[in-house]
Amino acid sequence: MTLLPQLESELLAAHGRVTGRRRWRHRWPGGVAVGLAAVVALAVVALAIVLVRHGQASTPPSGHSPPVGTTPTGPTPPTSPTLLGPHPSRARVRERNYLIRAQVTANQSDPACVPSAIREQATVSQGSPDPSLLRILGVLRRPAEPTDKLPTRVVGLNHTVIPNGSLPRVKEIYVRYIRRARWRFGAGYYIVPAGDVNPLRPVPARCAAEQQDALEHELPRIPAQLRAGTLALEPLYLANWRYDRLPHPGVCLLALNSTGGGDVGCGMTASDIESGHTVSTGGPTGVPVAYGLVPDGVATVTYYFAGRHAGRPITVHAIGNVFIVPLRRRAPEYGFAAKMVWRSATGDVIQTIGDL
Amino acid sequence: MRDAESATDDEVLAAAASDPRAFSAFYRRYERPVLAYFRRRTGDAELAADLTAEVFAAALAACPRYHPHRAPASAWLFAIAQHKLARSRRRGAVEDRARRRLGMDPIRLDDADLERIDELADSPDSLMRMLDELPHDQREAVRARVLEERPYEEIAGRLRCSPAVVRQRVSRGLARLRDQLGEEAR
Repeated sequence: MTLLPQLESELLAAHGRVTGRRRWRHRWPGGVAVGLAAVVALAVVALAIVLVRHGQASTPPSGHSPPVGTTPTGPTPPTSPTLLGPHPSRARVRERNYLIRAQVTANQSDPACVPSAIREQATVSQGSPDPSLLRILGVLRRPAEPTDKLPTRVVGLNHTVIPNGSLPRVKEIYVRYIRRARWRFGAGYYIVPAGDVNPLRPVPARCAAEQQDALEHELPRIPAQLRAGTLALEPLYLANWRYDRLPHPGVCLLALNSTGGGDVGCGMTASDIESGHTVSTGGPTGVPVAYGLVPDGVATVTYYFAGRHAGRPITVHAIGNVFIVPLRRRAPEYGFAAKMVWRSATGDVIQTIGDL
Repeated sequence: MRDAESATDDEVLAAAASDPRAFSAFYRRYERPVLAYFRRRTGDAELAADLTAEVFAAALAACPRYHPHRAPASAWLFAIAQHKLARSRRRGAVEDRARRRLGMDPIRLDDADLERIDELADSPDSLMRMLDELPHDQREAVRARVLEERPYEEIAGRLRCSPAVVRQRVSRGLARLRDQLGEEAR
């Protein structure tokens, strides 16, 4: 029995192509072969033109849906608006700070507006994850297997046992869709989809109006040259504020050893996964690793380390929408990525993620 | 060629250029030793699988040029393996030139594959322990040729025998290693 049967099949298929090519070369004298190649090339070009024209004429109308069960579609969940961008000006930062100050003022007069973390236990659902997640995470679309069951007790960071059995503290966990995406270096990597992975507790809607009132009062004290900019930034700030308080359909990624100890990371939305912002470092079995999620279609991840002693990049396969990079050293500054490159199975670059 | 079971490595490889069954037999004989070799040298199952795929693709492309009288088939294959490993280390990435040239699809690995590759190197201390168990003359020849990449002439001088004898020892030693790995797999 071979360990890599697919490799053997690929080699046999390649053998057929190679021997076919050798026979072809053997049969045809050079001049004839070149002439024939030119004729074939012309025929291919002509065929391509015909196909392109045909394709333009028969393009399906917009809104055509792929078959159900392969790539689910649905409304795109809201994404976080960018308030400052990667390189904001000093003035922009000061304007944003005035908006935060107005928020603090409002919170002081109405304690219900103070943001706080969810403390309730997990809730479960027999429903299905958001289509935005099913569309990009093939591992959630496969049937459940016995190995998908979480350990009976999950111990997260700081050695706290997660209440409610073994589920992370998020709302509406779709228990039928929990999947062990990988088993590597003695640890299981579980994807736990949920209806709401937002770690913040919702606050009353009045809080936004109170922030606006506080800003009105603050305005005379804001330097004149920053007032217009601050007011212009206010709608974006409020959109951001509202987003932070909406339910976020997303997933938790749990890296657990056989006793349930390990890392529990929640709060990853479809947008986070598609933009590559899901990387964690850890190692529940003592093997230090960096790991994260990738959407369907990503076959390999090349991980470029950050820092002066970064060393060479490492390329790993993405299996079950999870990539795991073994780290050669365990050090606080080591393991963070400066850049990631996602490639397809054919080696084409899908995405380069630099702002990690 | 005799049937693939009883044929020697050299016979199998010589027939592999035109006979896909012969190449398949050659692959089956050396898949585990090559994987175990790369797993030990890189410490990484994914890299070992990628390198193994590239080595066998290069071997497939080069097998019409193989001459048994120059080197045993096993040593020829491990010379390709060393070359690929060295090039990959220099470049900082596993080469895929041979696979691209042959139009091969990338192999898709799962965690069970990776674990089995890890076991090749981890469980019985496989390759190095087996190497230590070879008869002295074969062990020295395999070590010098495969691990240290010494030319046959130099090894012959060191072991005070002819290059042809060294080739025979390397061939027999690698064949024995291959059989042992096969037995462990069964």
